[in-house]
Amino acid sequence: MNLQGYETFSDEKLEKFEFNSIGVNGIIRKVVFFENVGFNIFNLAFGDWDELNGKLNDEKTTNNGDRDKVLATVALTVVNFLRYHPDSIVFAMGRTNSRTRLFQMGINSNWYKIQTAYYIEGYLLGRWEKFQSGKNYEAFSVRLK
Amino acid sequence: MENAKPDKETTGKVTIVKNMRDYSNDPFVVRKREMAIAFIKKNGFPPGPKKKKQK
Repeated sequence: MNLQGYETFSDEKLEKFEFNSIGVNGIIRKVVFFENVGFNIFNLAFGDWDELNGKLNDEKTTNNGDRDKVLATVALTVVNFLRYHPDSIVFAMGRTNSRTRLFQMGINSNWYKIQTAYYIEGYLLGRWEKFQSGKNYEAFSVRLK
Repeated sequence: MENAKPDKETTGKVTIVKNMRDYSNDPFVVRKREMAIAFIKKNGFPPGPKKKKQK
């Protein structure tokens, strides 16, 4: 798998990642945080670091012109997280439908590279199923095959 | 950290930073955690791949 992403900075457990999105609106610090919510399921939180308020948010649409590279970088953080936590499951769900679709776009655009090494499930219409490209899921899970 | 050693060619460059900021109490992370737990409680765990029956 060869994705073009930004260089990331991580803690020693590879559970927190930071990187800079560099685009038309300047440099925006992004954070990807994997948090254990029980039963070895790690929730993926992805947002922008708001320097002014000293907190994360995902409410702004940054429109920095580098969406694909940002999504590839988030995908790479999942790769690295699962490399260090091979028995864990990554759970991802956006705050809104449009945010969840963003995760879906990241998976879709790299699907042929991802599917060989990872087992991805999507939640749709009341049940989990094996991820199929083109469906709009409510949530996702990713684990190593 | 042997497992965590990044493969530059396939996974991009990762630089390990000590004493990185703790995000676990950030309101955004707390909200996302609560959403995830509520979702999983309501809808169940992702079951994973079906195991093939052994003959």
